[in-house]
Amino acid sequence: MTQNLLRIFFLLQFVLMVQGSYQCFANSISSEVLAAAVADIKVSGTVKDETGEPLPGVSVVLKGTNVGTTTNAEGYFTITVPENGTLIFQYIGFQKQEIAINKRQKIDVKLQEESRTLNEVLVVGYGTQKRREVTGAITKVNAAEITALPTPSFEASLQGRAAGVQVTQGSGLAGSGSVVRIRGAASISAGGDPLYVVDGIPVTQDPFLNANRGGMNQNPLAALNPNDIESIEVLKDAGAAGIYGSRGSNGVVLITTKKGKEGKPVFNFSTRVGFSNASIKPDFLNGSEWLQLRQEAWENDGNTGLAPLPNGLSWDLANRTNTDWWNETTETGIQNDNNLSFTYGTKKYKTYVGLNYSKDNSYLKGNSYGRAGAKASLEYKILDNLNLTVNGSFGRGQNNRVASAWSGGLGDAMSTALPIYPVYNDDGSFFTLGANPVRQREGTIWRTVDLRSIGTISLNYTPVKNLTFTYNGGIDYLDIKEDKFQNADLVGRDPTEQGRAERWPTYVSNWNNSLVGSYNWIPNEQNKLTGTLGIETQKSTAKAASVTQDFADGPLYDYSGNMKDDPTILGLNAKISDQWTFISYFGRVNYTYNNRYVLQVLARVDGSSKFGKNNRYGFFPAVSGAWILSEEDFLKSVNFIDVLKLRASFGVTGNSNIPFNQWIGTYATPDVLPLYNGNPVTAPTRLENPDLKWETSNNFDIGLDFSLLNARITGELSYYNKLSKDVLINRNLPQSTGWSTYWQNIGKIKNYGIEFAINTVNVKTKDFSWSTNFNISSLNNKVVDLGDLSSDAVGGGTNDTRVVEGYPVGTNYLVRYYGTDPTDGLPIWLDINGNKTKTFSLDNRVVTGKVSPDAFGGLTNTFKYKLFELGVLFNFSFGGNIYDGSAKRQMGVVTDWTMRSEIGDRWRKPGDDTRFPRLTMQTGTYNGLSSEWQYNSTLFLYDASYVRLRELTLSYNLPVDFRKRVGINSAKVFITGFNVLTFTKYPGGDPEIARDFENSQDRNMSPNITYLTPPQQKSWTLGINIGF
Amino acid sequence: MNKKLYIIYLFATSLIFSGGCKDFLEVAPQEGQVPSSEALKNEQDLTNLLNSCYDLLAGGDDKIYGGRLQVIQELLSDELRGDNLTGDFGEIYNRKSSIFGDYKTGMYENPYKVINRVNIVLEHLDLATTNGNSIEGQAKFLRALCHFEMVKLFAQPFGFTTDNSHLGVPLRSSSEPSTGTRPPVSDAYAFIIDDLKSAESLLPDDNGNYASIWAVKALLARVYFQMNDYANAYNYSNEVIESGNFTFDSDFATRFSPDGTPEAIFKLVNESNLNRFNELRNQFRSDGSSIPTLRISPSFFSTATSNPNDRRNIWYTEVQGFGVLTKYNSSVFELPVIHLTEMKLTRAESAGELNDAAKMAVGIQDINDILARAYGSTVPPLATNSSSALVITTARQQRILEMVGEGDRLTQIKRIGASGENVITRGAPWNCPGMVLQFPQAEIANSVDFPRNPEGGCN
Repeated sequence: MTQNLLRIFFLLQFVLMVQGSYQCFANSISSEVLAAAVADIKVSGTVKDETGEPLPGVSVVLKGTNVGTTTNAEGYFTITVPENGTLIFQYIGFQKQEIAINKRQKIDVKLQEESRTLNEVLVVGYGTQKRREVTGAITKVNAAEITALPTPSFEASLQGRAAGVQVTQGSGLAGSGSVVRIRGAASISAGGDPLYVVDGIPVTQDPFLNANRGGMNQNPLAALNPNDIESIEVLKDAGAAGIYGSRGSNGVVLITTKKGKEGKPVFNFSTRVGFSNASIKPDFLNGSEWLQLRQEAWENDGNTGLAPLPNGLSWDLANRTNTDWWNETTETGIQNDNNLSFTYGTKKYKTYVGLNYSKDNSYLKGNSYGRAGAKASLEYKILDNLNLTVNGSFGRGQNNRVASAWSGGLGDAMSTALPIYPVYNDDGSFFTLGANPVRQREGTIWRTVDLRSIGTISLNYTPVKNLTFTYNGGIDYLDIKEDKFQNADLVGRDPTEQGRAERWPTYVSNWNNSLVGSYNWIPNEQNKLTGTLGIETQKSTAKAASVTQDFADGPLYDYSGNMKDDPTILGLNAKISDQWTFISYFGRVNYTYNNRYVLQVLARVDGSSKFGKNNRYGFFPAVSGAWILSEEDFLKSVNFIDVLKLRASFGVTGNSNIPFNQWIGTYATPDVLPLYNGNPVTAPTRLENPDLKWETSNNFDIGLDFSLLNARITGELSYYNKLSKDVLINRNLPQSTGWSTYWQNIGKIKNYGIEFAINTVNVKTKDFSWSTNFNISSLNNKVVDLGDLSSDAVGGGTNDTRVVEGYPVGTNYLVRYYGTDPTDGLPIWLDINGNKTKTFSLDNRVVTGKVSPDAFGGLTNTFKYKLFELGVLFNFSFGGNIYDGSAKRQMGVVTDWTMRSEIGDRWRKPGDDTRFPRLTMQTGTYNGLSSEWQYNSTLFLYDASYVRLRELTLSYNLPVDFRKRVGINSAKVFITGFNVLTFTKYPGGDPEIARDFENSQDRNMSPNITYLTPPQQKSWTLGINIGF
Repeated sequence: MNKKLYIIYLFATSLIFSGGCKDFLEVAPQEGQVPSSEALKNEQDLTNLLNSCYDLLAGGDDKIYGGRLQVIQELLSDELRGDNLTGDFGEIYNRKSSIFGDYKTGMYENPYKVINRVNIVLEHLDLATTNGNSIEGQAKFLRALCHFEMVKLFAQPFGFTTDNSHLGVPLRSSSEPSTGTRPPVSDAYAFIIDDLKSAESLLPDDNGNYASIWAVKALLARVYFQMNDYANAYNYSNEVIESGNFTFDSDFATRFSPDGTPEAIFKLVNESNLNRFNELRNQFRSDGSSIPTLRISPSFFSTATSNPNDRRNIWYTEVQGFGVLTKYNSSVFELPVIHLTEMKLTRAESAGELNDAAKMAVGIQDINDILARAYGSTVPPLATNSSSALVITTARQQRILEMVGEGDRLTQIKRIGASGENVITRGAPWNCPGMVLQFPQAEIANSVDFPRNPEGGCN
C-alpha cells in the first residue's frame, strides 16, 4: 500500500513538473506562429487511394498549426491557408504526405498504402517503430482481417493471416478458445500460449481459470470485441519479443484498440446475421445397424440367441426405436452481430466510442454466446507537450452452456446415447435407462457470465524535443460466474422436490504500471539513435470459490435472498486461487546509420514471485540488426526493386507461464481441511523447489523483407531457430514417495523453420484488380533432452501423446496395427521390433506420429470489379496426425457406445481381408487387451492434413451518388461463408481439433487428439457496413 | 537544462525506488496454506499431521478404506459378477490390470501418502512434549498398516516362494523423495512386524478412536495369519479377544452403522457433516432406483442366501433381478477396519491348524458363537470333539459369509493358496500373475529400472 502511495506521489511530482515547464515552451511556440504574416488563399482538391478510389475522412492540416479539415465522401476538401504553407495529408493505413502549396489553388493527392512502405509505423512494445527501423520479426494483422469472419473469439481470426502463427480453432462451441502457437511449441507443462498485450497491458487469457466443466474451457478472450481492435502485431523473435523478457518465448500478441481520430464526427455501423451448422458430421449407424453389429459380436463370441442389450433394454423396444441423437442435440444456429462506433477529434481532444451487441447461437442446441460491450477512448492534449489518453472497455459475455464431449450433449450423441434408446418412454416421461442428452439438457440451466473491463490511462510527456516520458497504468478486471442448476430428476430426486444449484465464481484483477522514457538523438542526417528505458510492475490476483446449494428452486443468479446476508451462497467470499507479481526493468537502443544500417540492442530484467528464491531475477538480452540493401548504390539502379531489407536477431527470451508459488513447499492448514474424529488436520501439499525458474530460449532469426515492381510484389522470408532450455515440467515423482507432481526445470526443445509470405497484385486495371496473399510456415519441433525422465513420465492426463527425446512435443506413442488375420479375424500388431504378433501389449508402443503439422499457412485471393469485391481465403495444414480417442470406443469392442459407419469394413468370415477385426463384446477376444480404453493403436491414427475454404466473401460497395443522396460516406453489403468446404482424409469429423483440455500440458501436447469434440461451425452470414 | 536533469533524476529515483520494494515479489501462499518451514512447530501440529493420516484412510471420497481398497479386493476375488463391468473395473475383474488405469493408480497413491506423512511425523518426534509415545506408536502402526495393504495388492503373497525372495513393494522409512525400489516380500513383512512390535510397546490400552495397543495386536494377528504363522496369529488374536475390551455383537445391522459396532478393534469414524466411505455406497448401495455397479455373482448369491434361517440374509437383496449387497446402504456409518468377528475366525482357524487340544476348544467355541448368532438354534453347534479339518472348513465358510463385501476374501484366497492348497478362483490359480495388480505408470516411469509385475495369465 505504501508503495502504491509512493507511486502516486511520483506521478504527481511528474505532472507538477510538467506544468512548470509548460510556460517556457508554450511561449516560444506561440511567438513563432505570430511571426508569420503571409497572404491566405483557398486551396481545394481530391484525395484518392492508389486505385483511384476517393478517400473520405482524410485529415488535411496546415503544417505547424491547428488549422485543418477533413475530406468529404467524395474525398474532396477545401481549406484556407497561407500561400507558402505546407499541407499534411494523413489517413490511417496510408502514408502521411506533406505537400508544399506554392500558391497553387488546386491540389489533388494520391495516398499510398502505408503497409507497402518502410515508413509504416508498427507497435513494438513500449513504443512504436517505423518499419525501416524494425530489426525483429513482426507480423501485422489489420482490423478488416480480424473482423472478417464470425469466429468464436478474435484470436481465431489470426488463422491463415500471419506466417509463423499457428492457430488451431478447437470446436464449434460458442465462445470457445483456440490454441495459438507462435513458431512452434517450446513448452511442455508451462503455458505455451503467447503473451496477449492490450494497449500495453498484458491481459488475462488463461483458459483454465474456471476449470474444465462440461467439456469446455472458458475462453476469457471471447469477451473482447473484435470490432474495437485497430490492429494486431505479432512479435515473433528475440529482436521483437525480447523486450518482454521472461514472457516473450512463445511470442507476443500486441493488440491495439481503436482510438479517436481527428476530424468531423464519423459514425460506423455494421450488422450481420448468419446461419451455422457443423462443418463436418461423422457418420453413425442407425438403430437396426447397431443391433445387427451387437448380435454379430455376440455370436462371434460363441453365444447363441439374442444378444443382451445394454442396461437390460428389451429387444422389442430396441427394434422399434431409431433415434437420431445428432439431430436431437443440434440445430441450425443463428448468428447476429451489431456494432456502432463513433469517432470525433479536434487538435485538443479525440474520442472513440464503440458499442457492440452480438449473439452466436451455435449449432449445438441450447448453446449460445452473447456479447454486449462498450468501449471508449479519450485522448486529451492537456498541453502541447502533454497528452492524456484514457481507454475503457466493458464487455459482458454470456455463455449459455450445454454439456459437450465427455460430459454429454453432442458428446453423448457420439458415444453412449444409442440409436436404440428413445428420447421418451411410452408414457411421455424421459427415457432414463441409458444416456439421454435431451433429458440432460432440458433439466439443466447452465450459464457462464464474463464481465470484463480493461481500463488504461496513459500520460505522454515531452519536456523537450525528442524526449518523451510515458506512464501507462492499466487494470484488467475479469469476473466469471458460472452457474449450473439441475432439476430434481437429474439429481435423482422425486420430481416434486427441489433441484441442485451450483456456482463457480472467479474474479481476476490484474494491475499494471509502467514508466518509459524514450529519447531520439539525431545529431546529423546520417545518424539516428533512439533509446528507451523503462520500468514495469504487474500484479495479478485471482479469487475463486465453489458453492453448492443442495436444495434450490433455480440457479443461484436468480437467488432472491439478501445478497449481503449470503456472501457464502453467492460465492462472494472467494479465496485467492492465483496470485503473482512481476517487476521489470528494460531498455532498448536502436541506432540507424545512413538510413540503411540498423542495430538494436535490448535487454530486460524480470523478477517474479513465480521464481524460486534462488532464482529471483532473470536477464534477457537481445541484439538485432537490419541492412536495407535497396538503399545501397549498387541496387539503386535496379528499377524493379523498391525495398530489400535483410534482418537478423539473436537473443534470449523466457517463459514463466506457470501457476503461482510452485516453488514454495506448503502445508494445508487445519482451517481448510475437514476434521477427523472432531480434531484438526494438517497435511503437506507441495514439495519445495527453491531453484524453480523460467524457461530460457535462445532465439536466432534471419529474414529478408522485399518490395518489388512498385509494391506489386511484397513479402518476407524468414528462418528461425529456437532452442529452449530448462523447460518446465510438472513431473511425476515416484508415487511411493507420497508425492505426485513437482515443477522442475528439465529438458530442452528445439524449434526451427522457415516462414514465407508474399503479396502480389496480379492484375490492376481501372475496373478490375486481382491480388493474392500467400503465407506458409514450416515447423520442425524436437525434444532434444528430457533429463532423467522417461516418455511415460511426462504425459498421461487426458491425452494420448508423449514427449520422447528426438521427437516433437506431442508424439503419438502407440502400438502399431498391422491388419486383420483373414483366417480368424483377429487383429495383428507389430511388436517393438516390427515383428507381427497377435498379442496386444502396451510394451509395444513406439513413436508413430506427431500432432504438429510439417507446414501450415493461408492463401487469400481478392478480386475487385468496379464496386464488387470477392475475397477467398484458403487455409491449410500439411503433415501431422490426428489421434481419434473416441474411435477406439466407436469402432472397438462392442459395448454401450454408438458406432461409426467405417466399421462396415470388418471381418465377418474366414478369408475377409478388412480394416477392422472381428466384432466382439469381450476385451479378452483381442489377446492382451486389458480394457476397451487401452485399445490405443495406429488403427485410429489418421493423417491430419487438410485444406479448408475458410472464408468466401462477396461484397458490394454502394455507388458514390447513391451514398451522397442518402448522406452517408461509405456503405458495403456483403455475404460471407465461413468454413465453407473442408478437404480432409479424416473420417471422424472436423480435422482441426483442440479438444477441451485439463491443463497447459495437454494444451501443448494434444491439439489434434479428439475425444467427442464438437466440430467447428460452418456458417453463411449476410451483413452491411455503413459509415456516415 | 536543469529541468532535464531533474527529469533524469526523477526517472532514476523511480527505478531505484521500485527496485527497493523487494517484498513486492513475495506472494503469500494460497489461503489455507502455509510454507512447509512454518507448518510443524509443536506437538499440536504433529498431532494434526498424524490425524490427517486417519482422514486419508477414511477417505473423503474413495481413498483406501473409503471404499477403493475393498472394491478392488472384491473385484479380484470370486463373489461378484463381471458381465456388466467395463473400463478399469473390467480390467481389474478380468485380472489383467495394466500400467494405466486411474482407479488402480489412486489405490497405490494414497497409502504411500499416509506413509510419507507418518515418516514426517517420525522425523519430527522432537516436537512431541507430552504424547510422544502415542504419536510414535500410531505413526508406526499406520506405516505398517499401509505397507501391509500395498504388499498384499501389488506383490505375490507371503509364501509364493519358499524364502519369500520374490519382489515386494517399495518400503519407505524416510520422507526424503527417492527412487522406488522393490525389496523382497520377506523384507516387507520384517519391516511391518518391526513397526508393529515397536508400536505395541508404545501405545496405550485405550486411545479413544485412534489406534490403541489392541489395534496393533489385532493387526499383528492379521499379519501373522497372512504368513500362515498360526501360533502367533492365535496368540495375538487371543490376546485381543481375551482383553475383554470388545463385545461380540448380537446384531448384524450395526456392523456398518452410524454408531458403529462394539466389535471394532480399529475403526475409522465419520464426521457428522461428511459422508465418508462414499465409494462403498457408490458401488454397492442397493436401496436407490438404479442397480449398483457391483453385483453378486448368481452362484455365490444362491449359496449365500440358501439357508432362509441365516440372519445374515439381511445383507442381500435383489434389484431388477440382480443379487446385490445391502451392507453399505446406510448413508452414514463407521467403518470397523478390524473387528472381533474376524479375530474369532482367525483364532478358530489358527486353532484348527495348530490342532492343540486346549486351543481347539477355544476355536470350536468361537465358531459356535458365530453359528449361534447367525442361525440361532436352526444349525447345531460343532461338537467339542470336532476334527481340526472341520474346524478349519467351518471357519473358512463362516468367514466368507461374515465378511462378504469387506475385501477379506481375496486375502484368504491367497493365504490359503500360499499355505500349499490348490486354490482355483474363477478358473485361475491363486498365484496367476493377474491376481496381483500392476504398478501404476507414475511409479514405474519415475523410478529407475523399476521392475514391473508380469501381467494377465489368469484367463
